[in-house]
Amino acid sequence: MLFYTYRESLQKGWELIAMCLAFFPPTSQFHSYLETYFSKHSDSLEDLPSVPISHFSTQCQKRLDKMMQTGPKKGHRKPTLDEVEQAKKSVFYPSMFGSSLEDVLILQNERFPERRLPWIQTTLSEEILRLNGAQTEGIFRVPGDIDEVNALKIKCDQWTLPSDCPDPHIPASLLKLWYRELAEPLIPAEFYEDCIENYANPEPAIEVVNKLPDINRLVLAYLIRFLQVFAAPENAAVTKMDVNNLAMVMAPNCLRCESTDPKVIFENTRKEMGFIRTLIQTLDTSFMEGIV
Amino acid sequence: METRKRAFLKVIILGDSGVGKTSLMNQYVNRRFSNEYKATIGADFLTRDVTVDNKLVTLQIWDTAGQERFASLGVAFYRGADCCVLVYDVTAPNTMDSLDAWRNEFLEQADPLHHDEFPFVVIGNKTDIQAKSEKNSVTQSWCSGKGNVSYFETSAKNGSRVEEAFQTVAQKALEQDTELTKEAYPSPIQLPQDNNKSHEGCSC
Repeated sequence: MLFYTYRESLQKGWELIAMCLAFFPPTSQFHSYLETYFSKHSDSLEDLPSVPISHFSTQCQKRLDKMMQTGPKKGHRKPTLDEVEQAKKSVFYPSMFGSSLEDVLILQNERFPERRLPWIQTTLSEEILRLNGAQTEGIFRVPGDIDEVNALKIKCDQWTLPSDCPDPHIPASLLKLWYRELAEPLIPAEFYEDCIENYANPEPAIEVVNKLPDINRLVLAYLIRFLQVFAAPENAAVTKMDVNNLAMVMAPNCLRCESTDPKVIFENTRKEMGFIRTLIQTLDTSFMEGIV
Repeated sequence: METRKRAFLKVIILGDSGVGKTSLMNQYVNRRFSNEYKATIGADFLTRDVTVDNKLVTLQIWDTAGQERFASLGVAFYRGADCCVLVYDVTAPNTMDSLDAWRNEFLEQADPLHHDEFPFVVIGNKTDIQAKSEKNSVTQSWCSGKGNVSYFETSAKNGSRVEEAFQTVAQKALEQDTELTKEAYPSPIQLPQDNNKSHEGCSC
């Protein structure tokens, strides 16, 4: 790429790197080379009139960071043309997945200036209910077909929702993925310890929620309100997903333990789950009525 | 023989949520089945002593939460495993499709010495609901394409073939453990006698 001065080639070279980084990580030797290269080209003064090099390099660095965290794309099928196309497009039109909540709201601002909650969150949640998820055994526990989930993800990033989704487990898996992939955990790291300490005490647990930044508080309250529907006995009896199960499968999507010590991870898993269970059981979410 | 330390073998069970990982472990260790529908919290283990090749070994079987495939439990958890059991549900074909991802996840995290030779046992569970996996032949060929992989179809509910499957797990784990011990203490390197000989090109 260094030797290409021809603009079109330069553009295509950057596109190619960006697209690769959407699907698989570099080898460890190539990794450090890429990082150096990206940081060398992050100055916008270097941009050519038609090739925004600094934008490419910043986006590529973001993708690289994310790829190193999540590993290569999972699933059986090779990437579809749609997915490859999306990987190119999203350099300039970022995805709703893996972004911060603030960026998700900025993304939808033009389409839905009035919305206070992410479109993707409410749309997928409603889709699960529409597909009778509240009466489906193992909802949120049983995974949706991974290829179908990937396909739905692409559609959502294009602001459409196919009307023929066969199975509530598909949007349910995608919704969990969206929460889990947020650039920053739904309950940000600085609140993590508070949650772990107060996992069984309703008052301080609710206090943690009230201390969250506005957007995090709204998104979390919407999620808890949504889970309260599923925790209702008439639903849990059919889904077999009682409040314990719901909290268990949702906690890892809301809280991220930073420790690498297996002992700490195990001990905290129980408390993370307890915290979410406490919220489902005690958080008054009636103020969310009508908020979209 | 009595003086030698008993082999302690670490086994990890992976697979999509709801395929019956916890139930399999419980059936094997406690010979019990519970109808309770309960997502596993993080990870938990049970142990059982078992005889392989006339040797008493202890299996430490780690059951894991299946629902968060991508939120891995961390490298330290997978390290030192002697065998990995991959479980799918014969009544839910898409759980078979996930075997690749689980196998890759394990190899990435545990990073055993020889990826292609590491022992796996694949279990298609819930044969009490459906006698034979629709994906039987697909699974068979998947297994034979992956090297050291055995395949069983079981029912954690009525116990069918569970004992056999885990006997194979123990057998493979012990072989792996023995292999590793050998590699950890390889035969000493023979240094050439005349160290002073000057370096003239390649000595081979």
